[in-house]
Amino acid sequence: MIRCEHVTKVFNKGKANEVVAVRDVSLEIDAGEVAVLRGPSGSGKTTLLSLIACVARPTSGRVFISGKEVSRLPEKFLTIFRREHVGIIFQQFNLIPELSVLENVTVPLIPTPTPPREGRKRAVDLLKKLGMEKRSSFKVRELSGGEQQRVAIARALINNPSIIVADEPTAHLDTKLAEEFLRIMRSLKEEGKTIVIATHDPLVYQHEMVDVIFDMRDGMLVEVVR
Amino acid sequence: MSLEKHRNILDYAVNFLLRRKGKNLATIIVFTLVVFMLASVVMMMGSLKQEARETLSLAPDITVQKIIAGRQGLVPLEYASAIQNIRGVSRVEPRIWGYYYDVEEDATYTIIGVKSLDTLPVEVVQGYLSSGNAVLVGEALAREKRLRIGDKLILRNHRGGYDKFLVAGIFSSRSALQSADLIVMPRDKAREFFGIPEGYANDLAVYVANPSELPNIAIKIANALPDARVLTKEQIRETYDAIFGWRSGVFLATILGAILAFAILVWDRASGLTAEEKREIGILKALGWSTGDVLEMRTFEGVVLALNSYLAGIILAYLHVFYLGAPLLKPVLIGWSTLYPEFELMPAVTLEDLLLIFVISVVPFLAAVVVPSWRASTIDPDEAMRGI
Repeated sequence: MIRCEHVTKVFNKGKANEVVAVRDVSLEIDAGEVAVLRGPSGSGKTTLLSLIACVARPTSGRVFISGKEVSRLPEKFLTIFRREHVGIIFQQFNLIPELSVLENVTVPLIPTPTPPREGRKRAVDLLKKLGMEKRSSFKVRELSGGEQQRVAIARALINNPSIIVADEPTAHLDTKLAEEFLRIMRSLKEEGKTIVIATHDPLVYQHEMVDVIFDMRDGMLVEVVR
Repeated sequence: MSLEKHRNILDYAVNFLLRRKGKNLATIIVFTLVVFMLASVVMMMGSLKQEARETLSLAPDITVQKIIAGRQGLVPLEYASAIQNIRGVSRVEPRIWGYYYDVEEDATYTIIGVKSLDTLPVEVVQGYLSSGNAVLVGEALAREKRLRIGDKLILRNHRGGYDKFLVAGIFSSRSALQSADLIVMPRDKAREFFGIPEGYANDLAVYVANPSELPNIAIKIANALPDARVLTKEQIRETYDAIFGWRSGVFLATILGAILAFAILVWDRASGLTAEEKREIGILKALGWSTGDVLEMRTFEGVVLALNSYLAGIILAYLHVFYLGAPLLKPVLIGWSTLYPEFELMPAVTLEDLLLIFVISVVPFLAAVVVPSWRASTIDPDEAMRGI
């Protein structure tokens, strides 16, 4: 499903502040698996997650998703691919504060021909599934951290993607909310979604749903635990 | 299918603008003020030039003045005979005219003497006309001095005494400049009022049969009368244009500071994308928006802001100049206004004027909105979100 071949990502290449965030990483994640990118801060797991989520391109190496080399897709096609296949849950949730819960969830549908009414129906269904339907008209700043994360999950799922990526999803949640998040992820796994999570939270990587753990250190993949 | 997508993006852009009311209102206010200032200057200068053109349309083909020691003096009527003998000259009219300062109104009027009042295209009251002291006054002047037909008009003559005139008619003109300060009286009365001796006139109005011969005739007059200043209609028009152009140029230069401040605001608002705005573009791209989608949204936002401000600025400028009489600009653009009676500017706005203002204001604003957004949206969403 997801395959990285000798992937390297360098920021500010050729400048004094050049940083090699990911160095020659190769890995494979099968469809329907839950994979964890584990490592301390600065280990490169978030950058690797960005490469898998198609929001960044490798400086060298290749990324394949469902057999298609996404790392070399032109921007236009990469955008469409990302929209249709990848749902992203950001560490800071990255919700748009001026918009309501419902509007935030439908943002990925705006540049698509989806009629607004259908978009709203899909968003309401997702919010209902995540227990957020009563908050749909709230501004996101009026929500708790756990609620904001559920909005971010709904937004990630609005296009019914086959891959869900989540960056440090439990970093801002207490144990109860973190367990709630894992319960949602588990149900998504049962629906057949491929899930990739970057984390250093034991609650996540020790969870029984996790199929594979990739240990990262200084931008390199040091161990694969299945 | 794709129409739905564009509608979605437009809805989102408008919705977003409404949610950032405070910030966008500030932009609209500043933008509107700049358009208002620019448009007021352009409209007023356009109107004054139009007034000048109207005035010139009634001017003689050639005006001949006598110059004594570098200053304008009275022209002997023999000059008229000399000019009349030049081939191509159809008519020469000695003119008696002068300025009159009205202490009461603190304004200066122009008094013109004509052969006969009843030959003018003005409805006059014949009964009053036969009184011998009849005058015609401009509509705006009559309004200013609250004069009606049959009223007396008392003016101080060159000897210091007071002459009593009867308002026999009030004439209107397409040009407010013409009707605002004019008093027309019989030529002999005007001569007497100003104390201009017999056998002299202020200047000579020369008319030619063939306009293409005008420059040659002007040269012939200048050669025949070395102490005369010969002014063609074209030269006067160029002088008007130069004066108005210079005045508007000076004023535009003075508001350059305001325009510069606007440019900085525009750049700061749209161009200098804040880290927050860059991050937002990164988020949208990560969520499946293409560079084109982001630019479309930003352009919609810019167009809504710019067009609203542009229209508001133009409407306010129109009201300011043509309804309120440009109180903010008149003292600057009509420097002698304290000596000039009030007059209404004739609405004269051309498509070129509107386009000029559009190009100066809206185009740079849209460029400042679109270009930085394009730069932010062409980098990877990950980098945009990190602010790299």
